[in-house]
Parts: sequence; C-alpha cells; structure tokens
Amino acid sequence: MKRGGSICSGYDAPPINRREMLKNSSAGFGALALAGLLGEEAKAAAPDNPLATRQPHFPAKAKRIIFLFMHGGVSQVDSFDYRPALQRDTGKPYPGKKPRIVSSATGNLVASPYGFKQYGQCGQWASDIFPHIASMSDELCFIKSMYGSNSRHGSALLELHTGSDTFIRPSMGSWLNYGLGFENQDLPGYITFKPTGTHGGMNAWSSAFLPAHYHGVQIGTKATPIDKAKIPFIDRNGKALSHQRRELDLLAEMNREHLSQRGYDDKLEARINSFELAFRMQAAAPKIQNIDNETEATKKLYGLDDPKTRDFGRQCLMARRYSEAGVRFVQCSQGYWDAHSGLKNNHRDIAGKVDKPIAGLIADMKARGLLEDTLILWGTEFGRTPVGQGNDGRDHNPHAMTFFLAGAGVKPGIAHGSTDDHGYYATENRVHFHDLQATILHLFGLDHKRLTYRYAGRDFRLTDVYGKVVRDILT
Amino acid sequence: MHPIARALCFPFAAGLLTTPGASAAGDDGVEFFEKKIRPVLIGHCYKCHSVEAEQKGKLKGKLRLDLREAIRGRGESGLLAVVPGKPDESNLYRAITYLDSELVMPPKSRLAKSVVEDFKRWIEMGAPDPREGRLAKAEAKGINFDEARKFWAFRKPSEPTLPKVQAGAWPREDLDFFILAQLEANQLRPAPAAAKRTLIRRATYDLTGLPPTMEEIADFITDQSPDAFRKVVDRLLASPHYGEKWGRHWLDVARYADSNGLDENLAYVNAFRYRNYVINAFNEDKPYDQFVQEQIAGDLLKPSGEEPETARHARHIATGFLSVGAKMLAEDDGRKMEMDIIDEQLDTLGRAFMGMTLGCARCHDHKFDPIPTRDYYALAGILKSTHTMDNHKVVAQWHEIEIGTAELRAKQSEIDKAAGEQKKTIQQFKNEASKAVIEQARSNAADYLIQALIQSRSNNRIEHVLNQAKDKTEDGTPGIVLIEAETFNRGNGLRSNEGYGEGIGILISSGPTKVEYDVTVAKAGNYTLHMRYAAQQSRPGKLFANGKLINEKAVGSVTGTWYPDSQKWHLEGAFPLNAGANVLKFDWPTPTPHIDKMLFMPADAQGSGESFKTDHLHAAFSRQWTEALKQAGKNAKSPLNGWRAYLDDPIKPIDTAAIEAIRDRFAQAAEGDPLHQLLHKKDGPFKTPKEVEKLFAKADQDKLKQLQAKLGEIEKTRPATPKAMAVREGKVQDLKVHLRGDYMTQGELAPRGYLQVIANKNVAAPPKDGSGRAGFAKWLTSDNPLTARVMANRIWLWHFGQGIVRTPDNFGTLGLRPTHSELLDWLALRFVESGWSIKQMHRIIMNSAAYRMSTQFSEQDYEMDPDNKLWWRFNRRRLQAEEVRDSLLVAGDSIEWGVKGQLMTYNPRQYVSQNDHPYFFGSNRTVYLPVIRSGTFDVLQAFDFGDPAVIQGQRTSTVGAAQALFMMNHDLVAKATERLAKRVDGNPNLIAAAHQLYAGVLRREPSEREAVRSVEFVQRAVGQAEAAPAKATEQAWQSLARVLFSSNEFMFLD
Repeated sequence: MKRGGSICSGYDAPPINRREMLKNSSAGFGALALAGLLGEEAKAAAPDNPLATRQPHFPAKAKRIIFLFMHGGVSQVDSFDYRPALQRDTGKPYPGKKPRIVSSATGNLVASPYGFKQYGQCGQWASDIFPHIASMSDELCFIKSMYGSNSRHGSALLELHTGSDTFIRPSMGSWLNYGLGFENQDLPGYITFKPTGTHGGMNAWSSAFLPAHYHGVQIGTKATPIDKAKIPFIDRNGKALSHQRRELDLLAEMNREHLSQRGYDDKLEARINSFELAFRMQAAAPKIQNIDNETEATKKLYGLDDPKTRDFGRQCLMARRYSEAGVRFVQCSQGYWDAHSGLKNNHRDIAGKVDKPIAGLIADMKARGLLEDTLILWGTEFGRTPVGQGNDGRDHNPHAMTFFLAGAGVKPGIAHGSTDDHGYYATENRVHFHDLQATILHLFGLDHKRLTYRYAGRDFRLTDVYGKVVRDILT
Repeated sequence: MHPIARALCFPFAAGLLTTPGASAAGDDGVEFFEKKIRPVLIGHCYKCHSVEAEQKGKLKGKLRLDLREAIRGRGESGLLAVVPGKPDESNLYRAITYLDSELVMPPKSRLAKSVVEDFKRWIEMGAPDPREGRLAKAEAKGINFDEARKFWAFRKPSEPTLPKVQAGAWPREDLDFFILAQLEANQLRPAPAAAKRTLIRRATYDLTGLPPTMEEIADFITDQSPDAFRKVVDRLLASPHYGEKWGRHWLDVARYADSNGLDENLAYVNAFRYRNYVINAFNEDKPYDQFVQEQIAGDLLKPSGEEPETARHARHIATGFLSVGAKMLAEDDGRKMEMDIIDEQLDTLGRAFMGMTLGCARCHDHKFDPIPTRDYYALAGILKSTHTMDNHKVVAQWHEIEIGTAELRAKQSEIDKAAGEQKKTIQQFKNEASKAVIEQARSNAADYLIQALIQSRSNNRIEHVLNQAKDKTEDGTPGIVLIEAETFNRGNGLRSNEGYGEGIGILISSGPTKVEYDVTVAKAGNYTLHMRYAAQQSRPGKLFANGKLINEKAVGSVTGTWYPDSQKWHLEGAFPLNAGANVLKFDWPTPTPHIDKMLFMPADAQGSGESFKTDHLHAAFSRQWTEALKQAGKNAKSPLNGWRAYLDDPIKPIDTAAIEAIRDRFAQAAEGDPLHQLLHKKDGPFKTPKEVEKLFAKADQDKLKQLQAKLGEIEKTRPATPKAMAVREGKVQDLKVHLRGDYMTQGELAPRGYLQVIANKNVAAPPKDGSGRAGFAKWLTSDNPLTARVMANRIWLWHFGQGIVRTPDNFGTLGLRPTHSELLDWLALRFVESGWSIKQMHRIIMNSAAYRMSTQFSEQDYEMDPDNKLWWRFNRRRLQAEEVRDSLLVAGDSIEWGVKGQLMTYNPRQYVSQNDHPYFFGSNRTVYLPVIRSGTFDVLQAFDFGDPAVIQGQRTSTVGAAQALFMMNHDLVAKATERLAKRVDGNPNLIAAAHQLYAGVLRREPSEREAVRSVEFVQRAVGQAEAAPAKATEQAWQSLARVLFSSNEFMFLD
C-alpha cells in the first residue's frame, strides 16, 4: 500500500461529470505515453481523497483504538507485575547486571510498598492501588514483558508513539488514519486529550512527513480543565449560526463563480467543500462534547462525581463518545508517574485518579458492545527499576514494563510474557514497542511491513525495520 | 538442612571439586555437547545462525553457530562467540544469560536456567565440539564507482544546444525553448500569457510574500513599455521584503527554529542571528557558493581584504546552520547522543546541498545510491572533529560564540573602569566606617569575653548539672528537677516512642494543645527552666507558672528537623517557684514541638543564675569572641587562658565579683600587654566582621546605600556581549565505521574525507590539524555536479510550485528524474556563470514566457498531462502560511515593518512552553515570529508550515476543514476584518464602501454586480442583526470582509 506524496484534498464533493471524465482519462493512454517519455514509472495520477475510508490489507478486528497513556513511567513491580522474590529480597543487591546505560545511580532491591492480590477467574495479580482495574482482569490482556530502547522520558515517549527514539516520525494515530482513512468524515480521525507539552510535545501526535490531514487534533493542554477543552477554532465566538450560514452562502456563491471562470480545479472545489465540512463539524463536535444526556449512573461509573477522578473520568467518557462517533484514534493522558522519590504516595495518588475511570470505561464499552471492534490500550513510556533510588524512589527502566489491552481481537483474561524474578528485565516472550505497534496495525487489518510512505528517498514504516506481530495474544 | 544431611552431602560435593568438569560428562565432553548443547543450538539458534540461514539471506549478525570454526569466531560485533574455558569472555554466553539488555539471545525468550548452566559448563570444559568444516570466505561486495558516476545526477552539467521549435515567437528567454520543444513534441500548447493584474499579483507574492498595492497594480497596467514587467521584478528584488520571503524558503531547507523541540524544548534565543543572516544574504544577493561555504565553515574562511569585525562574525554566525537542528538533549548514552547529532547534521547537509540521503548509509552501505558506510563515517569524522556541543550530558548544551565588536568592548571596558573606581570609593568609605564601629566595640572588650564565657559553657552546664544529679544520692539532690516531657499530669498531649521520638519518648500532639505538669521543689526561690526539643517549624506556646504568664513564646525555636538528632536545650525563662507543689502550664494554638525533657535549676544555686546584660554588644563580635575563646584553648600562650577555668568547670559562678575582676583586667591592659595585642590583632576577635555594614551608624548606612546605588547604575549601562549559535573546530579525529550504526561495534577506520562518487582532485583531503569542514565546503562548491543543480532546481520550484526534479531534496536513485534534464543543466550552468547570483536567476526565470503563462485550464492538455509536468500552464497555488497572516495584517493595516531580533522573552536555554505565545498577536512580519518546534503557532500549523525539525525543500499545500474553521473563527481574521470594517463603516455611499473593501482584501474593484450583491448582503445582515444598529452595520461589513478573505480568489494565486 503505497501512497505517493499526493497532497491534494477532496471532501465528498458532488460528482462533476467533467471531473469524472478527466479522472478516468488521466491515467489513460496519453498520460502513459508521457510518463514513458519522462522515464518514469506510470502511476495512477488521480489523487485519492485522503480522508476516504480505505480497505485494510486483510479483514480487521479493530476499527478504533483508545490509548490511555500514563506519562512519567508506571512501575511494573508496584502495579501488575507481582514479583515475590523482590518482596523477599528487599535490601539485597540485585543479583544480575544492571544496564550499561542508566539515567541515575540506584541502590539495592526495594520491595513494593503495596500489598498484592489475585483477581478474577484468571488469577491476575495486582497491587492494592488498582482495585477497580484489577476487578476487570478477566477482560484484560496483560503484556508483562514490554520493553523499549531508551531511558529518558522524551526519547521513550517518542518511541512509544512514533517508533523512533531519535528522529521525527509520524505517530501511531497518524499511520492508522493514513492507512485506513476517516470513519466519520465530519470529525477528525485522530484526537488527543490534554497531552503533555513536554518530552517531545506535539511530536507525539504529529503526522511528521505524512500529509497534514493525519496530524492529531489536540483537545486541551495538560492544564486545561477537561470540560473547557475543545477542538481548535471550533468556537464561533458569539457569532450567530444563522449569520455564519449567510456568510458561507455568499462565500459559496463567490467561489463557484471563481471556479467557473477557471474551469476544472479539484483543489478549488475541495476548498469550497471544506467550508461545508467545517460547518458540519461545528455542529457535530459540541454534541459529542456535551454530556448532559449521559445518565447519572454512567457519570458515576466514570467517577465524575468525585473530584479526584473527575478529570480523567471525563477524558475517558469523551474518549468513548468520540470513539463511538467513529474517531479512529483517541488518546487520553495522565501524568506524572515519575517517582524518583516518594513512590508510595506518588503511585497511590495517581492510580487513584485513573483506576475507577479506566475500569468504568472498559465496563461501559463492553456493555454497549463497543469493545467488539474497539481496542483499548493502557501503557507508559517505561517501567521503573526494582532497585531503589534514594530512600523511597525508583529510576527509569526501559527494560521492563507492563501494558494491558482489551477489546477487539485480543484474548481476554491472559498475561503474556514475564520478567526476571525481580522484575528488572523482560525475559520471556519479550515485546518491544515495535512489536506492539506491529500488533496494533495487524488488529486494524494492516501489515506493518506494507504500510509505507516514501519520504526523503526511503519507504518509511511505523516499525522501521523491526516489529513482529505478537500472535499469542490475538483471538 | 539437618546436620546429617550436611554430613552426607559434603563428601559428594568434595568429589565434584576434585574431578575435572569434563569427567562429569564422560570422555572428552563430546557426549555432553551432543546431549545438552547441540539440540539447543538447532532448536533455538540455527534459524538465524547457520548455513541454511545464510543461504536464505536470513543470517543475523554475520554469525554462524553450526560449525566449530564458526562458533569460536567473531560475528559482526567483533567479539568471540565462544572462548573455550572462559564463559565470561564468550559473547554467546553473555547473550543467553539475558543480563545485558543490549544483547539478549534468543531474542524472544530466555533459555531455561538449567540450559544456561549447561552452556556455562560446556564452555568451561573447553567447549568440546565435533562439528568439522570450514567457513567460506565472504566476498566483499563493493560499489562500482565508475558505473555509479554514469547516473544523471553525478554527471557534470553539460551545455545543451537550444532545441528547435515551431512556435518561434513564443520564447522570451532561452529556457523557453526547452519547455516549448517538449510541449510541441507532445502536441501540447502553452497557455496564453497571464493578464497583467494576475502577473503582478503573482510576482509580488512570489518575490516578497505580500500583495501588491492598488497603486503598484495601476502603475504596471498603465506602463505600456516593453520592459514594464522587468521593472516590476527589479523593484521587487530591491525591496527588503524580498529577503524576508526568499530567506524563509532557505530557512525551510535549514530546518530553522527558535527552540530545540524534540525531548527538551529549550529556547534557542540566539538562533535568530542565523535567521537574519539568511535574510540579509538573500537581500545582498550573496553568491550562493559563498553562502554554502559560510554555513559549513564560515569560521574558517579567510577575509578577502580589510573587513569590519562584524563581517567575520556574520560568517561565523552562518555556521548556525549546523547547530539549529533538533536534538535529543536528554540521552543517557552520551556517545549515542553525539552520533545522533552528527547524523542529523549530515542528513541535513546531504539533502540541503546535494540532494543526497546520506543518513541511509549510517547503518549499512546505501541501498540505492553509491554511498558506502565508509563515506558516511568519513564525513561524520569531519563533524566529530567539529565542536557543536559543549557537552553531551543530560541536559546537553550546544555551543555558542561571543560576537562583541571592538566598539562594544571599548564601551564595556570604559564602564568596567568607572565601576572599578566606584568600588574603590565604596571600599574606602567602608574601611573608615568599620574602624569607628570596631573602636566602639573594643571599649566593651571585657563584656564580650564575659558573654563568650557564659555562652560557651551554657550547654555544658546543663549536661554537667544532669551528670551531677545522676551521681548524687536522692537526698543530695541540689534542688534540680528533671522531667520527661511526655509525663505531663493533665492535658491533651500525646506520647511518641516511634518515628519522631525513636527510643526515647517525647511529647507530641496533633492540634491545639494544653498540658500541665505538677512540679515539686524543696526550696522556694528563683529557678531557671531549660527545655530540650526538636522542631522543623516554629511552634511557640504560652508558658504559665502557678497561673502567671512567664513566657508568651516559649519553645519557639527552630532546630532543623522533627527528629531526635536535632534536639537542643533552650532556656525558656527564670521565675520563682514555691516550696512544695507548683503547677506549670503550656498552651499551644498549634501542635507542640517535639519535646523531650524539662530541667529546673535554682537560679541562686551554684552554676546557674548568671545575669549579665548584653544589650550593648553586637552579635557579630560576640561570635568572633566565642571563636577566639575556642582558638585560645589550642594556644598555650593565649592571654585568654586565664579564664578557661570557667569553661573547665562550667558551674563555677560568673558572679558580680568575677565580672568586675575581668573588667579590671581589661582596663589595665596597656600597649605591650598580650591582651592589648590580642584586642588589636588583625585577625583577632575584633577583626572586621563580614556583616559590619549592618553595624554602621544610620547616616553611614545611608551613605553606603547611595554609593552602591550609583555603582548599580553604572553597571546597568554595561552592554551584554551578544552570543550566537555556531560551531568551531573541535578535537580532530577519524572515526571507524560503526556497524549497524552502533558505536559499540566498530569496523574499519574511515579517514575523514568526502563522497567517493564525486571525485574532485582539486580539493585537498581534510588536514591533520583541522576538521576538514573548509575542504568539504570547497569540495561542494567547486566542480560538484550536484550543488548548482540542486539549488537551480530549488529556485525553479519556489517560482513554479514544482521542481524540474520533483523530489528537490533527493537527487538519488529513489528520487524522481528531471522532467527537463537539459533545462536543469542549462539553469545550473547559467547559475554558476552569473557568479552564483540568485537574483540573476530570478530575472532570467521571471522574464521567461513560461513564468508569464496564465493558469488557464485546457481539457486537451490536462488529459495528456494532468500533473503539468511539461509546463503547459502556470501552476495555481494556495497562499503559504506566512502570506496568509501577513496579508491579513496588511489588509487590516496593522503590520509593523522592519527587521526584528528575538521576540521571545525567554532566558537562554529556558524551557519554552506550548501555551504562552504572546508574539502571535503581535504585528511583525511572520518570518520574524519565533518558530517554536513542537508548538508552532496555530496559523502556521493550519496552513502547512510543516515541521521545522526536518528539512523541507517543498511545503505541502493542503486544504481542509481546519483551515476553513480558522478563517471562520480565528481571532486573527476577526481582528483584521474588524479594522477593515471600521474603516469602511460610516461611508454613506454603500457602493463606495464595497469598493473600499474589495480593494483592501482582493486588491481590485468589484464588478457592478458584485458591488450590489455586497451592499445587499450588508443590508440584509443589518436587518436581521440582534445588535444595536450602529454596531450591526460594522458587524455586517466585518462579515463581508470575512467572506472576501475566505474566498478562493484571496487564498489562491493564479
């Protein structure tokens, strides 16, 4: 699936006969002859509508994804990767070799300050700070052997989102929309709620060298109250709708005159249509943002009744609503798990903000049948060291972390892979970020090796030259 | 383990120790290999490390494990896989232990622990291995450069002959023959010439990024002379706005930004100097070869003659090209960071100047172009020998240079001199004022000693008393009462033995607290109360003795922490107690400090009750006296030693008699007396204290303040030395090839040099005492087939919207071929011939018939050539981001002209924030707005400014809903339209007002129909408005203005 750098855009334009005629003939004999003359490969010259829904490489299990990103580095050994040996050996030196490259000096093994229990039919272990998520264990597919390449937030975060810890690359959400188009033409295909502006900022939701249509739409910043977070420029700033309609009617009239004087130009046409789309989007988005019609029970399920869980709860509820409306990639973010010190309070506090909303989201999605074709992914840029940093902290650790998935196409109630006895390194069935990305594309019916884009003389992939689909977790 | 078991197993273990490992596996260990090792190798390793894998092209790490010779050899890493007898030196063993995250095998899952143990044992045995066979010598696969040089881009541009054409009247410039010949060969007809109004709008945006004024349009239309358009072009090229437009094109290539972006988004507050250098270079028409050389090696170029210092600085500033890229500044692996930064530089250099994707050769020979990794590391060596970064720590610092001029330095030294003199004046004044202070203090010398004695022994005294109390029998207690604070008789305090009072027991509490103690003393009289506590914050409480308030703020000191290690004794008061029972009460509005003990001592008893007034003494001298007393203990000859008895016996009373004796002694100390000498010693107890200024008389203090304020004023006028991001020469060194791009696995040495495919014998190889940048710059600009072609193509592209090579940053095999290769050569040759003058290229190109064509559509031509590769018409284009914003500002008449410096208010290297960009609402030309990576302003983002972290030879040009929403709702549009509406509103002639608005936005008069329609629109809007009529008309005009701005006519150039 190769799409050239076509930059032209067309929204569902009413068919114009001449245009159709031209499109059909543009790859005809004349154009072919010309291509031959220029010594080029013949290519279909008609530009795709970049937003049109496209067929995947093979039947897809997932149509949409909600990515719950935990910024700062959640400790695997204090969340879902229970390591009895760590609890036992606290205070002793780590028996293996510490990594050659580390972000800070660390000391001896430190046990988790939390208690662990088993949950559900599957017997998944979880620490006491995630009781709600743990109670959904039978729905979840844990990967306990995740690992990445870099021990710094910026690099690790970018690698998780874009596949590269060094260079500017398109993000996962951009690749998915590039591969599959938009499901709902009235909304963006890629939304990210309240992302962090640090550690790469926009690079994490950027389309980079892919066409700009696939750039993530940022809704709010880390500091925006979630109920105030909106799509950029969607606000009419007090202008009456009827007024705006009148403007657009005159505009359309002028633009049509302009076009008729110039003959066919798909870009001019596309731009005429873009104002109608904007007008529709202006109507559609506020309806999704407005949660008045959600029941009290639903709001409670997401924790909107509690100041502690209200913000992330609303992110999750928005995620469901946008996802329901067909937005292919929705991301929610919550920081800041970076517990170099005071881990016990840090992780307990932040877990308290996300635990109930996430469990609520999964339960709600399941009840509405949305989990059938929606994938939920929970993850972080790196795990933390089982050895201590200072008195009560843990350092960055890209060599082991725990993710979980739920929904479309993944096995529920399983745990894939594991770490060494103390949880420092992923050791069994290791899954690199690249492997996870390959797997996600696979769930969407895309072969990560075939989803390429030519740029600067190379065919680029989300997974670069790496990546292997983790088949063991697929249904 | 039971003793018996231990006894049983011991001989067994001993047996193992005495037998060589091999014997456990029988014979020579081959059996062990066959049983334990070979099956694992077959099952887990051969898939990627065997002859079969090699045949399928799936061999990993250039390592086979299926032969004894192979397994004992080196793979790509250069390390031996198995060293018989030495598991620790065997890379294979290291890999399977999974203890080194960078090398884990098998890659997916760790082998069972017992299997790993087997391997260890096997290697210890000497790695017995029966697998005979020899490895075939791998054939070196080289690049055939002679063959490679035949590729079009590597051939020298050759002078083409002008092709014959039928429509001989059409060409205006030689270049038109190349265009027309191909059109005619394909039965295409060039579009008619563009109307004058269209042409001047096209040219004005093209060269300046701005709309033409109504006057400029009218002048051009009325100018009937044959060179009317040339005059327009010359006028535009002479405008300072030309550099602001064309400099910006280059800044796209240079991936220019004002912040780092990537992981640590630090402000590049000095990057703007490079930006302005570029703008200036275009305005000056700096020869392109010189422009290239300066950006790579400006610091190394010699001046051609006399030149101002600023000229040298400008050349050095140009090397900012190498610095302004986006970098991972927080990378724990410093060596990786350095190589990544070099890679970014190389990638940019290669694509910007040569259209070569050098980055592809970092890990392996370029798969498509003749660039071996050796060439990559030869060039990388040049950059490794260049100082771009001051360090590669987390967070790393890029290098900056100082660019002060002689004039500035003179100004600075003039100010430094004045400041120096003022400092001298201040010092003199301070000396005199200090003398007075010290004289005065010296008159109280005896009292300072007395105070020092009392203070020095105060803590000792308590310990002394407590020790004595311990030694005494019960009836011998000298009236001392010691109470553990947590043993209060009444109240709501709490006792703590843990945490804050580990092992000792203390009084704590959790809120407002009252406690009472029953205190029994044998004798009535005055007592002092000492308390021992720890407090991280001050928590004073009221202290009552028998109902009487003794101390308003008792136990209010801060000791450092809440923990016992910071507990200290404090005197809380002296007050009378009755014989027998007394009640002592504390009342805190807050929780208590952490109190350990309370001690009562009779004030009139031995060792207490020293009452001595100290109001006339200064703390600064007191501290010096305490110190002097301490030092005296180390010096047998010190005149103070006579009084040490008071320290040795801390309860020896310092009573009135003692005090008088000391004062007498001091009064008698005359010149020559050691005591007198001590008092006048330079570093003695009356040395000038650091904080002596606080002891000055009020008038002296005021005078000092005045003097210092004046110094501040002088220093404030000192101009800072400006800095610029730039590189300089570093430690010269050659690199080895990094296998797979990893510095941990290095191959052959790659001496610094240039691309082998472009051999230029006239350029010397990099020297031993220099990075080689100068040579590289020269190699690029003399006889390099790529450099002129690549830039000529860029110039063409920025005029026509498409290049002759439509992949402007890639002239390699995967790039597109030129549509008109002869034209490209012709342009490249003219470019060099003109002395690399970019302005001359504009003149040639813009004078051509090709440039002057209209965008008129033709069904027949479109069918044949829908992408307009043969240039049968001019390409219509959307305005670029800067053009949109600048045009809005111009139309709203609020643009602020002029060259700008740094508009950001960030400190150097401060983190920039995504959300606080006040500059966006300023009215400077967009090119001067800071480019915040990962947070580009919304107008730039919406209109395809692109990602400023990567080179961009050609911007994309999309249309979409985000842009529509921008025009409908963005503040920038609201402000521009409001200003226009205000100007128009109030014109009683509505038709004339409509004309005004059309002129303001679209730079033309409306047709009669358009004018009438506009007026009707406004009237209808007013009629339906909810606002008051006056406001409603303005809003209606604003509404119309918004429609005009949103129109395709405004947004597109024909």
